[in-house]
Parts: sequence; C-alpha cells; structure tokens
Amino acid sequence: MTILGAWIAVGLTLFMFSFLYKDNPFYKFGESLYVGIALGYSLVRLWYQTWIDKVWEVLKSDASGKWWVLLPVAIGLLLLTRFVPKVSWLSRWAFAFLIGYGSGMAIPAILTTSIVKQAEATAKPLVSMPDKSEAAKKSVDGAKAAWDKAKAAEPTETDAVRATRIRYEEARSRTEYTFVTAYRDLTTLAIFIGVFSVLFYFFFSIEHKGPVRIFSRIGILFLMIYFGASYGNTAMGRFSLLYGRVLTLKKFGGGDYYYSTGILVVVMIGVLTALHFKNRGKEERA
Amino acid sequence: MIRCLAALLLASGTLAAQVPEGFDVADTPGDAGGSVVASWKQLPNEDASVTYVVSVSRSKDGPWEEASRFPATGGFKSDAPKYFWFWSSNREEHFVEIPAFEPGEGEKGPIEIWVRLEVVTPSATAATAPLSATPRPNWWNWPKTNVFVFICLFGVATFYLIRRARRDPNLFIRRIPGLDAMEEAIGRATEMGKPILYLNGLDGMSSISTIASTCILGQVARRVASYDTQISVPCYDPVVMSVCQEVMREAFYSSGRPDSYRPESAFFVTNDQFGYVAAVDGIMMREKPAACFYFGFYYAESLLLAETGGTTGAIQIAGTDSVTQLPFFIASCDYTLIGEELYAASAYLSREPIQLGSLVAQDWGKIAVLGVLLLGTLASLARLDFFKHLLATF
Repeated sequence: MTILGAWIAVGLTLFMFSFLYKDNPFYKFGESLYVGIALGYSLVRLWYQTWIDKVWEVLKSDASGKWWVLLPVAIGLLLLTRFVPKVSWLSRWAFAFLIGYGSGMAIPAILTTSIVKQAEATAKPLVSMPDKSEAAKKSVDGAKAAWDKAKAAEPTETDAVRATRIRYEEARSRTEYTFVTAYRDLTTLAIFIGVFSVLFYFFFSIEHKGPVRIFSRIGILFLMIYFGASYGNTAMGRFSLLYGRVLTLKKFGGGDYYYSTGILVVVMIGVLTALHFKNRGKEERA
Repeated sequence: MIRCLAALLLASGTLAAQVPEGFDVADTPGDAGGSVVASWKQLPNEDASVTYVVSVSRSKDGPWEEASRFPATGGFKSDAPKYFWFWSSNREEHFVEIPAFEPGEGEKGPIEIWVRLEVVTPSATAATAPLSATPRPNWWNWPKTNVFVFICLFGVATFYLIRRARRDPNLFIRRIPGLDAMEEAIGRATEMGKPILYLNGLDGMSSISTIASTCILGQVARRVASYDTQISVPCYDPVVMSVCQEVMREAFYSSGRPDSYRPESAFFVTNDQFGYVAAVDGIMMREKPAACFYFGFYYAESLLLAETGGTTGAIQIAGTDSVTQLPFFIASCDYTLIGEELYAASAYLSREPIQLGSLVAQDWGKIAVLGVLLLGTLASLARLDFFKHLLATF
C-alpha cells in the first residue's frame, strides 16, 4: 500500500509539473482529479461541519429553545431560489444580508487594525529623550552586570555573550544618546516619512503635481522597496517548497519504491513525444 | 510595653494583615458578559511579602474556591487600560478579572458571583466581607469608542461629499493608468475574438476586496456587453459566483444587451485553493484569453495565475489589497492597482456620484489620519501621553 501511495504521489506530482512543458493529457487528468477530489471533500466537510453540527444536532438537542438556527438556514435557502426564475429575486435578500453583514463586520475591524492601531504605533517621538529615571539606571546597571558576568564565564563572544551585550547596549541607549539611539531615531523618521508619502500617493482627488507629486514619488519608492523585499522573501519560501517536492521525488525514486520517479518520467516523456508527433500536423493547421 | 510593641508591629505591616480599603466587585465594563472585576486600593506599606488571594463562590456562605493569588507587587489596574483607561490613580489600585460561572444542569445564566479577598502576610491573614456581582453583556464597548468616533466622522463626511458629487459630478479624480488600460484590453479582446478572463480572488462576499472586485466586474461587464465580446468568470466561492451572475445580468440589461447575457459566464470551480489554480491555469492554456483581470484578495496562488496568464500573451491587469501578493502581480502583470486603488477603481470607471463621493471622503479620511499622526508625533515628542491614549485600541 505504501508503494502504491508513493507511485500515486510521484505520478500526480509529475503530472502537475508537466504543465511546464504545455497543457497535455497528464496535466488535464491531474487537474480534473484535483478539482473533483477538492470539491467532493469540501462538500462532505460542509455537510458535516455546517448542516449536521450547527443545525441538525442543535435542533435535535433543543428544538424549541434553539429554533433561531433556522433563520440562517432560511436565508441560505433563499440563495437556491435562483433556480426558479419567477422567485429568483428573493436570492437578492440573501446577498444583501451577506454583503451588509460582511461590510458591517469588516469596516470597524479594518478601521481598528489598519488605521487607529497603525496611527498609534506611528505616532512616536522623532528624537529620543534620555530616560533619567532611577529605574532606567538600575536596568542599565543590571544589564552591564549580566554582560560582565557572561564575559567572565566565556572569553570569546559566543551567542549568549552577544545577547547580554545587546541587552546592555539597548538599555544604555534609553538613558544616553548612543549609536543604537541614533539608529532607532532614524528608523522612526523613515517610518514617519514613509507613512506620510505613501498616504500622499493614495490621494485620488488631488492632482499629483508640485509638492504632492514629489511626496507621492517618495511614497511609491517606499512601496517598491517593500515589494522587492517581500518578493525575495516569498520566492525563497517557494523554493524551499520545491526542494521538499524534489526530495520526495528522489526518495520515491529509489529501489525501495521500485524506481517510481525514473520509470514514470520515462513513460511520460515517451507518451508526450508520441503525442507531439501525432498532433504536429493538427497544431500547425490550427 | 506589650501594647506599644503590638502597635509597632501593626504599623510595620509585616506581621499583621489588614483589609484594604475600597474593596468592590462589579460587572466588567464594556465586555460581552464573560466576567466580573474585583478591585481594591493598595495597602499603605504593601510589598512582595503581602499576597492577595481572591476566592469565588456561587453563594455568600461558600464553599469558596481560589480564583487568583498574586503578590502585592502586581495586579494593578494600570495593567488593564482596556477596562480602566489610563488614569494615574490606576497605579494605586489592584484588580482581578474573574470569569463567569458556566450554568450547571437546569441553571440559567448569568450567575451571580460572590467574591472574597484575603490579605496574607507571613504571619497573619485577613479577609473582607464577601461581595457579589453578576456578569452582564454591556451595550457599549468603551475601548472601541475612538473607532466609533472615527466611523461617525467619516460617515458624515461621506454623506456630505455624496451630496456634493450629486450636485457636481465632475469631481476631479487623478488618472489611474491601470484602469485606463482596461478599456484597451477589452477592445483588444473584441478585435481578437478571444474571451476576457476575470477573477475575483479567493475571499468570500464578506471581504471588502471581493465587494470592490464585483463592483469593477459590473463596469467591465457593461463594456463587454456594449462591445459584444465574451467574458469568463471562474469563481472560488459559490456565493461570489451568484453575486457575479447578478452583477453581470444587471450590466448587460443596463447596456441594452440582455440577449447577450449568459449566466454560465460566471461559474463555480472549487473552493480548494490549488485545485482552483490548476483549473484556472488549464482554462487559460485552452481558451487563451486576450485579457486577464485579477481583482480581489489573493493568497499564494497569485504568481501561479499571473505567470500562466503571462505565457498566454494576454494583457494582464491586477488589483489587490493583499500586500504580500502585490509584488507578484507587479512583477508579472502589465498594470497593477495597488491597495486602495482597487477600491477607487469602481468609482473611477463608473463616475457614479455615490462612489465618487465615497472616494473623495476616503481622501478626507487620509487627511484626517495625517493630521492625527502629525499631532500624535508632536504630542509624544512633548511627552503628552494623553493624545496617544486617545488612539489606543484593545
């Protein structure tokens, strides 16, 4: 059974990879199988997790007390009136409910997370003021003592020693103006300029010329720097997924699994070559 | 002599335990009825040797169950600005949040909670008289008041600007190149006799980006109807599919081409992410659309879709507020609407007063946010925390 599973896994992986060559029967088979299984699975899951768990079981346990679960069922059923042209207008009630509910839920949440929370986090002093309190001084002394102790225990700077040094420098940067403080202030300034200029880019009712144009240009520069960094980060993540898949193909291509990868690759190349020659004339005519 | 010694020991607070002042139990302010709060003033000489033990019961006479135990150095109201705001007096009062009792067999909630506070010192223990409160859902969630105020101001501005847009529909909207290119893409599809592929993203109808996407679909469908070209809308969500059908029907009818409307243009594929990608990629390779539009919210499938669309030679225009996927669309599409441009698109294309007014109101909102940021930065520079507290969200 394990060997059969390995052959299926390798086969389906190669079927999907074959799309890199072009649309072909192997890919079509893989695509149809994937869509069919996904649809069937989601249908069964919906039936059990929504209908059975949230309606049937609830009504079975306390039908008179929890009759209200039938209200969303009724709204959901209105969607099915689309199949009866004469009453299909009723489905709009369900859509109106869904869109109204969705907007009502989403707008306050977006305002909280994307505007108020962000504004709170951005409104920081652009220049750090040294903290002269006793507590801050104590914190610096404590961090210094920890660093000295770590240095005494380890003559070379290991990760643990470096961590204590960073903690000390971080604590010191709060009580006096150091390189770390300057770096932090520069970061705050960059965030401040970034937020302002990006907001300028998203002004639609103001013509982008003069100072607004300069600001919005700076804004798009900030956006592109972010997009570049994000692209690189995600692309690396995708490569690690590909490595995982290639390792699976390598593992299942061994003797323990009767060389499934090699055999299937050869078979697929053979079939695709045969199909290529068979359809060459047709494709040229098309 | 003995009396003097006892008085000294009591004053030092190390041996004797005394009951704190202001012990009170009340429903948790602004919550959904899930707890009550016990609070009291700190003792004059409390230190880490003093421990507070809070016990709860369903009746005044017990049995008592320990709910919380902590040293006097912690558990201050200032730790929970969500309930008590940022008043300076909060640093002088302790509190404990006590979760509501689950109703037992035959019991109906909410259940009254009796609370007793014990002060434990190394040598003695003192307890308060028990007090009770009943956890109840509150109508007003105080921590969200700032969001409510912002929504109200934004709402008023929107209504005002919609009225203004009705009086003068020629409100200025800056050029958005991606949207200008849509007209060109639809024209190209008509000339080539090939279909247009329109995708709504992977979110459901409760997502703002999907709502924006269906609004844009309405405008695209109007042009498709007037040019008598074909459009294909594979959907990830059955409800989105139904909405798309409605939107397209409306667009075809209002363009005077009801006969050209085909409900099967918008169809459901599957609601499995990569199953959907496999199917749409297959459709792209077989139908070779002349234009691919990707509007809405996308996840990891964005690059798979846009790269495949690119290989077919289609003009590709994308618009999403999914910041993690925007780089992929920017890299692989001809035009990309970044973030809020997606919301502006429908107003830009239709120039309907309601949408135009909302768009200008968004700009007003942004000016307000800029003002708040500027004031907030200046206030924090001047160490005026009050302004920052006004922006606090919980």
